[in-house]
Amino acid sequence: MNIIVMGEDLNAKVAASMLASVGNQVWVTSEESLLTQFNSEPGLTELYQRQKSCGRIVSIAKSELSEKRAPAETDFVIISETSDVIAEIECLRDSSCVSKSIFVILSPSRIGEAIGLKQKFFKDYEEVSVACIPLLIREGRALEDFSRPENIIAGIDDLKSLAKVESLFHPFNRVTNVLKFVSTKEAEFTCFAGHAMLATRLSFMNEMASLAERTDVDIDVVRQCIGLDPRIGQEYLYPGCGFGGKALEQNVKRVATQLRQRNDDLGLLDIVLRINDRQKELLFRKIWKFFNGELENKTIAIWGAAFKPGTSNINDAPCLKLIELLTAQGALVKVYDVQASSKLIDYFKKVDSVSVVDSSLKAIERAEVLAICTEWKEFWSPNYKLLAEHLKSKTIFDGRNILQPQLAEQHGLKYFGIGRNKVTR
Amino acid sequence: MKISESKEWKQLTSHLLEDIQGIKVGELNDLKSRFEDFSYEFDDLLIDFSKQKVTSKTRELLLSLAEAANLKSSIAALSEGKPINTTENRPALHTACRLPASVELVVDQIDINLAVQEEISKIDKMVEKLSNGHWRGYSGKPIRDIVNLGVGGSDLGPLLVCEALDEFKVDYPNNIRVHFASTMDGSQISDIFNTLNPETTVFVLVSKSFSTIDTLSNAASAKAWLMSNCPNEALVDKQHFIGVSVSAEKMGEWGIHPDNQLRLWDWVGGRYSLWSSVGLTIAIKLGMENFKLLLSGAHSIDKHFFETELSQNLPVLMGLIGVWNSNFLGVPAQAILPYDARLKYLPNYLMQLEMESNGKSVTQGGESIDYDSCPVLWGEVGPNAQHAFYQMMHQGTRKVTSDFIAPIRRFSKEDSEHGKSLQEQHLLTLANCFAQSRALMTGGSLDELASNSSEKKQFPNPHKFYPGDQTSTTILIPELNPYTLGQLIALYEHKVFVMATIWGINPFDQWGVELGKIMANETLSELKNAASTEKFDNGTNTLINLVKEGIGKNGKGSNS
Repeated sequence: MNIIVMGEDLNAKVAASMLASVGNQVWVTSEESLLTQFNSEPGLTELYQRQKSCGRIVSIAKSELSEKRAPAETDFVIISETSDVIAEIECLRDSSCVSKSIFVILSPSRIGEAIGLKQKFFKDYEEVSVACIPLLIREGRALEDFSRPENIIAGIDDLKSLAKVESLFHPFNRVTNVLKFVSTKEAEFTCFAGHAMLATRLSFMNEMASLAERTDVDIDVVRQCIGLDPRIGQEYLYPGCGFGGKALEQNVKRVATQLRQRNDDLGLLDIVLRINDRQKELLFRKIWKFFNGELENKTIAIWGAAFKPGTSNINDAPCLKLIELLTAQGALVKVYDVQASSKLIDYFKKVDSVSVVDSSLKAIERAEVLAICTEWKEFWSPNYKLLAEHLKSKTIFDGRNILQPQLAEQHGLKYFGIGRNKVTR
Repeated sequence: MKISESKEWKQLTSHLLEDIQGIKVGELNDLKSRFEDFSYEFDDLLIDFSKQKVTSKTRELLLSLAEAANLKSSIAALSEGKPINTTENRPALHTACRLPASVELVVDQIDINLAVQEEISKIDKMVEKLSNGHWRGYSGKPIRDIVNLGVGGSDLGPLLVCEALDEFKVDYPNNIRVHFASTMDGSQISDIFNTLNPETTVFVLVSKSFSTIDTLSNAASAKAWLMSNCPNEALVDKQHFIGVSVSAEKMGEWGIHPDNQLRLWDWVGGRYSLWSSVGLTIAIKLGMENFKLLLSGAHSIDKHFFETELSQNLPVLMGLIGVWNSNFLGVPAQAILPYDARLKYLPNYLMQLEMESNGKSVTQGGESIDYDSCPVLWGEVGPNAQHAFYQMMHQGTRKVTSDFIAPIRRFSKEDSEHGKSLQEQHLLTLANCFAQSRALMTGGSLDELASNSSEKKQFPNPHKFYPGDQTSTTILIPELNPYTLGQLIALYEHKVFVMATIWGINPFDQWGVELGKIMANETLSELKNAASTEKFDNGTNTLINLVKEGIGKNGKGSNS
C-alpha cells in the first residue's frame, strides 16, 4: 500500500517505521524532525533508518504535495495531529492521487474532528474517507504498543473503508482480532473519555494520599490493597507529584472545556486538573515548609525530569514547575535525568541557578536535600549511605514513592513521600 | 483681611441682590447659547454648569474674587511643593505621586520624583511576585487573597477605585482577590476570618502614622488569626504582612519585614493618598498598567489645573461655583449623584475629601471666619437615590445643589441579546439623569404634565407641585476607565483646594478628628475598670455603667 505519514511527533515516527517494516511504501512529510527526534525510544530510530535505507520510507516535501507529485493512488494518509499539518492537507486537497484515500487521524483534538475534516477539505470527493484511529502508543514501549496492540478502536463513517482499514492493520492483528469498528465520533470520544478516566483515577489517588498524610496512613499500602479488588485493578493508582506529558493533560483539558459549556456541569474534570496542578506544587510546598520559607541560596538536588521513565520528553513535566518555584525563591537546583539532559539544558539555558548534571551522584554533591520527580529504575534502590553523607540536611522528598522509607531512616535520612509522610515502621 | 471684607466679595453680594435674587435657574436656561456659554471641555471630559444659577457677570465677579484670594499664586505654591499645609508646616504633594517618571520635581534641592518612582517600582515588584504566584504563604501555597487594612484615606480611595474599575481587574492564573476591612468594631475583619484561608491571605496594613488604632486593632486580630494556624511569627510576618506608612521604624517595631515595607511621605495627606503606595491594592487588582493609567489621568488634570488660565480652568470654575452656592446663594448641601453603579463609593470618598478638607471655621492664620465653609455633602448612585432622598430635593424646604455624573458610553461593545438590552438600560439611565436635573431646575405641576397643556391651572394640587429652582452641575465622562476615573478624582481634589483658598482655610490638616480619639482612650480605660464610673458627664457615665452591667449577659434573641 502507498501511505503518506504527516506529522513530526512520536506517533508519526512509529507509524511510518512500523508500516514500512511490513512492506508498505511510506512517504513522510517531516523527515528532518523524525530523524532527529525520539532517538531514545527503544529500537525506533534503528527501525526507521533500516526502512529508509531500503527505500520503503521516502521523504516528500510540502511543495511536492501541492505540485501533484504525491504518490499515485495513495491508499492512506496518516495524520498524527491535524492542527500540525493543516497546510499539508490543504496542498493535497486537489490532488488526484488522494481521490480515493482514507485519511487516518491518530490523535484527535475534538469530537467531530474527522467529520469536520472531510467536510472542510474533501466535501466534493465522495471516495475520500476520514477515519479516527486513536492508537495507544506509550513512550518507552512505542514499537511494542504498535505491533502488538491490546485493542484497536477504529472509527469510520462508511462501510467501504472497513476492509481497507482491516488490511492496513492485518500484520498487527494476528493472534486475536483486536480491531473494533465504531463511528469516528465514538472513537474520538473514547480517546478523550479514556484520558479523562485515567487522569481522574490519578487525581483521586492524590486526594487519598493527601488524606493519608493527615491520618498517619501509608497510602502505598492502601494502593496495593484497593488494587486487589478486581473491579478496580492495579493500573493508574500511583499517587505522585503530578502527571505530565502532552496528550493526557491536553485531552483532559479539552473534555473539561467542552463540559464546562454545559450549564449543569459540576466541574469534575476541572477539579481533576486542579488537583494535578496542586500535586505539581506538592514537593515545593514540602521543601518550603521544611526550610520555613528560607530557600535563598539553598541547593536542591533533583533526580528525574522526564514526565515519565523511558522518555526524554519534559512537556508539562512536574519537575519543570518544581524548578521554577524553587528558583523563584532564590534556591539553586542541580538536576539529573537519565535521558532528558539536553532538553533540560535547552529549557533552562537562561537560568543561572539551574545546573544540569550527568549523574545522580553529581546532583547530590553539596546539596541540602534531594527531590525525586521521575521513577527511573536507577533511582529505586540508591546508595542510602552515600545520600546521607552528601545531603547536608539529610532529607529526601520522594515525589514518586519509589524509595523504602525505613531504609532511608535507618541511614539517618528524613523521608517525605506522597501520602506517607509520617510513616515509620 | 478676611475675604468677606474684600471689595470682590461685596460686589458679589450686590450682584446677588441686584441681578440674581428673584430669578429662577430655569429662566437662565431659556437662552439658546446657555450650554455653549457655561459648559467646558477638557480631554473628552465635559462639565456643564448651565443649570447653576450663574450669569456671565457672576462668573466674571467670581474670577475677580479668585484673583483677590491670590488663587493663582496658591496654585503655583501647591504645584511647586511650598509648605502650604501651614499648621503642619509641610507641602501637599499628592500631585507628585502621579508625575511621569521622566519629570523632575525639585523641592528643597531634592528631586522628589526619584523617591516616588522608587516606590512605584517596589509596588511593581510586589504585584509581579503576587501575580505570578511566587509570593507564598507560610505553608508554601500561593497567595490568593489580599486584605487592605486601613481606614479613612487608607481605605476609601483604594476601595472606590477597586470597586469602580472591577471590570478592569487582571485575570491572574491564581485568581487573586482584594478585600477591604476598615471598621474598628471587628465585624468586617471577623467576616474575613470566616471566609478566607490563612495559608493564602496577605494583609496590607495601611496607616500613614502606623498608629491608627482602628487599623492596628484589626491588624492585631489578623496576626492572632494567622498565628493560631502557624506559630512561627517571623514566617507569618514575612509572608503575610505588608506595611504602608511614613514610619519605617514603627512598621519595623510591629514586625513588618523590611522587604515588605512601602514608604509614604508626610507630604501626602491621607485622603489624597490613593496615588501613592496606599494604592497597592489597586495595583494588585487592576495591574500596574491600569494603575499607571489612573495616575496619568490624574496627572492630565494636574497639568490642566496648574497651567490653564483661571477662566478656562475646570477645577477653578467648579470651586468658584461651589463658593457661590455656599456663601451667596446660601445652599447648605451638596449631593453627589453618579448615574453609574460602579461609582457607588464615590459619594463616600468625596464626603471625606471635601468635608475633612474644608469642614473648618478658622483661616490659615487662626482667625475665625464669618462665612460658611464646606456644605454638608452626601450622595448615592443616582437611580437608587431617586427612590430615596430625591423627594426632599424636589419638594422639601432645603436648597441642595447636585453633581450629576455619568459616562457617555456603557456596554457599547456588547452585541449579544442581553448586551443590547443592557445598552437600552444605559440609555434609560442617562434619560433619568438628564430628566432629574431638568426637573429639579424647572419644577412644575404634575397636573399640567398629565394634561400636556401649557395652560396654568388656577388651583394646582399642592401635593403634586414642584417648586424647582434646584441647581446642578453635570459631568460627562466618555467612559469609565482607569484614566477617566483618575481625572474625575483629581478634578474634585483641586476643586476642594480652590474653595479652601477662597475661604482662606487649610484643607490639608484635620485637627477636628483628634479630640474624640483622646476621649476614646479615657473612655476605654473606664470601660475596662470594674468599678462603676463617675468620671464624665452624667449621661456618658450612665451609658458606660449600663455596658458594664450588660456585657456578660445573654439577651432576647441572642445566638451566642
